Amino acid sequence: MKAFTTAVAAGVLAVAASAGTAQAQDKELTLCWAAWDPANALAELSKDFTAESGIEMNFEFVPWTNFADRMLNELNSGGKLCDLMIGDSQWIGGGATYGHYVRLNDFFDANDISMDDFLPATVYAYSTWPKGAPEYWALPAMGDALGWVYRKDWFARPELQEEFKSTYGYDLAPPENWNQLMDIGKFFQGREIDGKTVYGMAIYTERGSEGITMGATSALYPWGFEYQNPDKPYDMQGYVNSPAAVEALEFYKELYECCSPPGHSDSYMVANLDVYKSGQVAMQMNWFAFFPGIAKDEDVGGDKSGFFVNPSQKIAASTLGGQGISVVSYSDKQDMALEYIKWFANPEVQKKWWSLGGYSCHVAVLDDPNFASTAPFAADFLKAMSGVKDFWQEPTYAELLQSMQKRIHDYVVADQGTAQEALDKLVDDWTIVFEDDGKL
Amino acid sequence: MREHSGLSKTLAGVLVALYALIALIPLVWILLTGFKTPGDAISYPPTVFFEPSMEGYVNLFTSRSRQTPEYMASLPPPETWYERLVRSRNMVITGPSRFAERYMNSVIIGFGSTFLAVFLGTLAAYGFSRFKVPLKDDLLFFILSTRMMPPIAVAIPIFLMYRELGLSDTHLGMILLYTSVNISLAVWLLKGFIDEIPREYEEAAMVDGYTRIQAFLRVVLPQAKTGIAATAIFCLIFAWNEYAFALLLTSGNAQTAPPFIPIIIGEGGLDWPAVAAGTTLFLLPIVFFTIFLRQHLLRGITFGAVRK
Amino acid sequence: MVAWIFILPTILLLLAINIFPLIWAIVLSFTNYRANQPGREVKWVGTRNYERLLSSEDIWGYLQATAHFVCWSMFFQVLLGFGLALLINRQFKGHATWTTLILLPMMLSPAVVGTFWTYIYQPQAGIFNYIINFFIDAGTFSMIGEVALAPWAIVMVDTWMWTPYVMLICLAGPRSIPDYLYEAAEVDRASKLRQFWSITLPMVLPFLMLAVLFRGIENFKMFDMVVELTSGGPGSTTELASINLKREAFEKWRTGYSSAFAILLFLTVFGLGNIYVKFLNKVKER
Repeated sequence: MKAFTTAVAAGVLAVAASAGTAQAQDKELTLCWAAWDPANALAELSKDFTAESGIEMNFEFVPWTNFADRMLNELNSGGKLCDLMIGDSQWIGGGATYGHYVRLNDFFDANDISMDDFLPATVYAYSTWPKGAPEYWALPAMGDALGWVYRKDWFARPELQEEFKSTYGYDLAPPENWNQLMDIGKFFQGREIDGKTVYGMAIYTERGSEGITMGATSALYPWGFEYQNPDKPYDMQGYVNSPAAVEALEFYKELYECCSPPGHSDSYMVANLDVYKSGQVAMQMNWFAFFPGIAKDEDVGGDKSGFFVNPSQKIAASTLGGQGISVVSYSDKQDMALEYIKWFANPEVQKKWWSLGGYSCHVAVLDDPNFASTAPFAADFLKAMSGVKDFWQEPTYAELLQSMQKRIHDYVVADQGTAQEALDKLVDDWTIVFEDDGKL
Repeated sequence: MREHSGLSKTLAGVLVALYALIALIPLVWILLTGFKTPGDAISYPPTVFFEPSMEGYVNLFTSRSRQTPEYMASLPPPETWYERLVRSRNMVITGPSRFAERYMNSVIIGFGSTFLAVFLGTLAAYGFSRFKVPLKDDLLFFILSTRMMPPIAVAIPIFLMYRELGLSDTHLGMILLYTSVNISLAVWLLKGFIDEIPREYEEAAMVDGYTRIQAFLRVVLPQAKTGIAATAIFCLIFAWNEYAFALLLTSGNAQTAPPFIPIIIGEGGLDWPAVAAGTTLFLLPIVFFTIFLRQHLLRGITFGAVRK
Repeated sequence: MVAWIFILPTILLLLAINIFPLIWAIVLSFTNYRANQPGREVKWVGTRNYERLLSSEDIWGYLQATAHFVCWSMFFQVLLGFGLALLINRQFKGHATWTTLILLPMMLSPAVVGTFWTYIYQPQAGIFNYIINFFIDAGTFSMIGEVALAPWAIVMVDTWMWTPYVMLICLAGPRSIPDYLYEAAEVDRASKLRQFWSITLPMVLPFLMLAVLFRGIENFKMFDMVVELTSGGPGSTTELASINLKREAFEKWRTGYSSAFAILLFLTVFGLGNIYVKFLNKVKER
């Protein structure tokens, strides 16, 4: 027994030692992104790159709820796992400031890649730091915004049309503003459709990563929410907790209570997809990134689903999603990684990217006069991207985000305190973060 | 041990069996879910009777991509049963998943650190048991107290230290870390056992010309077999299942299975059959190991633990 | 000095991987260091991190959630584990097999257990609600989504998983009771209840308390199972101290502040553990 265990352990240690020193192949790149439909499309697209360059592509796709956590940990530990990173828009400040990403200006200049070829809103959001300065840390890879999906087939039923009109006095159709959204939600909540109880809408309520913040801001922005005094950066008092912001947050909570399925208390993208695809809700909020998949879905695809832009209230605005592609500064294979970006920036590749279900940000794709007719959601996408707003992209974004997650979830889901208190506390939290970071 | 009456025995048996049956429902549910299709796994109300499928296990070990019907029609006929299964979902296998790698990492790190902890623990326990060590009680309490740190608390400086030393995401780093966590338990459990072994045995052996080391190896170790086995089970259960350190300190190279299993996603949400299949396969080695060393387990915990 | 040959490797390992990091953490807890900003100037901030911690209402909430979790999970585990041990000790036919079956849940990985219970607790497709509704008409409810239920949901899963552990340690207790004690009691015609209170319980108590010590320490540190099950929600209802510590340390990267938090938690466990061990020794001496 003893001899046996010794032998096993010696073997194990030997394997451990050799595994630690094993080196990856030379002509190989690893690209890190979240695990979702567009990532599979990118893997498909990248086969062309491998065919052209002979460089094998590996992919590390992490579920969204673990994505930021896992990848920022990887960057902060100086890991060499990822050569290319399609990091979230909010990481750009940290990626640039802390030296995780390679600055791309010289590379762009040397290879005639012009940022003018990309939609300005996406360049601003995904590539630049400091914001708006001509300092590029990523190439816009995947344009995205928060939009809505609805059951077109349910909305079209004459008996429902009639009942809705007689109750609310207007036609049952994709909502123009948030009040209509709530009316429709209430209308469907608890209704029997085809023998099943259905609910109004699936909204984001996830606690762990960024879910409820993305959901709540899609209500806050149309109410005219501002993160700071436009004339005085980091001055948040009276902006973050303005009366309009309080009203919007109260509205979001009411929406959660009146119109979401039971137990929908910790839900982000995939949870919303699941309840929508299984026919439990009439509407869901989700990223445009998922819309190609929904349009093709076996159960709810085709004519059954329609799409609409985030409803406006005081103004028209949508929450920004999407990512740029960056080269990780800890990678030993930066040259090959840059080669990939050069290939990816090619207009022909960008066109194929859109056809596979990726949201290209290239004007060669978006300015095509036929673009709006290429997909049922294409026109809405352009409309949404014209009025997007993003969360803080500060280097300290993770802290700012965590505070907001807590304050909003405490109020909306756990029913603690008032909206005013939640936002007041949020201002306090954020003030401390900026003080610690030396910005205040 | 007193004899109990027949009736009270039967009653006790029924109650224990009842508890066991209720407690086993979630486990059985995990086992069953592993053989469901993803559709059956999220149907409402939950299905108890279903047509078993290997889809969960196939999904666990492969990565797949969805294809158009035209493309599917252009493929040559599938060669294996699992390819046929995947094709029936309009998908093709694009390669193996990372599960086998992660599992292998768990084997290396789990068993490696268990061996090291038991090895070092036996040595230290013998030292404490047989020699006059200055500040013995303080040292022993110090060893125990290292287990009181929350793992996340330890992880902060370890993260920084491993980053400097290049031990992040390596098997060696994780083996050393798990060993250091387990060693307090190992020393405490094993010291109790070795205290039980009469000193006279070794002293007789040493009179016969054995050195101290030889006496330790040939006399004490065989006697402490039960304790070593019990300690090994507890160390392995911890190292095998550990999550927090693995999550924070490993990524592509040395990541073990526990951080991997909860994020196996299919189309849409978590791929529950694959998660269940992974859970089942991951539980098996521990169960076999425990059954293999079962007689030692109970005795093991009763000895070392209670004595101070 | 032969002794050191045996002891030294262990001590060195602990010094390198436990004590050195601990000291480092203590040093960091007095700085504004951030592990994600290696280039930033590190400043001494005195006790500011500790002041912030102690004056924070939120931290108090996390500690309360932790206390609720530790106390109730201990309560149920002791009740069930001790009860099972007493029953199994009657040596009915097949008791060894049943014992092994009962042990199974504690061999699972806590993170995986947490993940899988989110599936079991699902309001629509989950088996838990289905079974409950089979017996009583509870309607659609969410164990992990409702503020009133979530703290109990985590207690329940922990109890399911770790009752076997308490049982295992308690099993040792009754076996160490010499038969003559009961025989003497029979002669004195002491009732069964009386025998339990005056013989069984005092003999088992040290074992039981040891089980509570081990599980108590583990549950105070609880992270993996609960973070996968509820990720601290709804709101912050099940945000245990370790879960918040992870957010502060590895998501917000407030290394200095979270080091202070870590030290504070360690001192709490250490202090409570110490008092408890003293108490335990007293009980044993009786």
